[in-house]
Amino acid sequence: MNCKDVQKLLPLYLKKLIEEPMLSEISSHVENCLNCKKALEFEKEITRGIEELFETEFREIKHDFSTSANTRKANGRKTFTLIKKITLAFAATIILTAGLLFFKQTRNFKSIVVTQPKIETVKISEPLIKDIVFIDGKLKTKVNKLGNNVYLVQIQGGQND
Amino acid sequence: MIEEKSFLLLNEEEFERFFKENEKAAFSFAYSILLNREDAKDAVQEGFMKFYKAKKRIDKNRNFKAYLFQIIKNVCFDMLNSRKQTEDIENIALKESKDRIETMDRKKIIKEAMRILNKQERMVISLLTFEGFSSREVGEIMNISDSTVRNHFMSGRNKMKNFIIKNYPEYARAL
Repeated sequence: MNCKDVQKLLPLYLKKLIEEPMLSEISSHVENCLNCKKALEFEKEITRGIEELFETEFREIKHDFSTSANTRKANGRKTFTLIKKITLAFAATIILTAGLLFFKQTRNFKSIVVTQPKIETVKISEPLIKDIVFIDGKLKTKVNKLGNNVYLVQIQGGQND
Repeated sequence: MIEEKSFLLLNEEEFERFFKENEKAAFSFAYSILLNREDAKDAVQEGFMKFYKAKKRIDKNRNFKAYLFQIIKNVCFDMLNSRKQTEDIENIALKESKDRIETMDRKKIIKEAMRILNKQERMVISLLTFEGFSSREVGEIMNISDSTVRNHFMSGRNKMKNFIIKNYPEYARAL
């Protein structure tokens, strides 16, 4: 095997993608040939260069991720990894579907925001009120049905709105 | 490494581990096809997303790491087709070769040298650069034979070497 043949096979030799007896033949040739030894070093340098290229490009991407993550953290928002994004995407789909169904059923509603204890009468002509829900369960409340679709809602106090 | 037998039970934690183990190699692979960092990032994310969605349909006995890389390869090819970048990349390669950068920056030289290769050669080189895939597995991912993988690797690397010697003789001599 001459130098030209050996040098052509050096990339495979480095990756151990050559079987015996060719492997031993290349080994002993490189051992005794200065030109092929240099060529082998050059191949190693190319390998390092390829690794460096992939490594630095990858680091840049990771850096972009972490920079944007830090910005999000500064804004008080949670950082999501890809897996969390995937989970979030599924969760969001489920919540959205559930929300749409819920909204479809309860699209006729009236909400009141209360900051101080008060008494409020809520009257909705239709459809028939099925239930009155308090978003904040910590509030002391009292509900009296006065008639069809007429309720007396007493908000007696609490820590939140 | 996650055992194949537990694959169908892959939970969030296991998937995250799988993601971390393969993220860099997946990125390098996508980058070798697209030659663009941002596109490669998008392709990897989409690839992992598709893999995650398909995980319950994957044959238990299948090499699922190879399957992930097949998905990423398809995502990359779709991106190339939809953006009609195949020709653009070749044009960029030629242009950059003509406007030879007068620098000894190894990364730039390697990047330039990779651009003259065809997709198959770049893919094989990226998959074999990081330990973890045998030439047989690379063949499985790319749907080619083991010997074709070796041929692509050898021709790609020799093209790169000759390109560097021809265009950056100072760099080649300095070694």
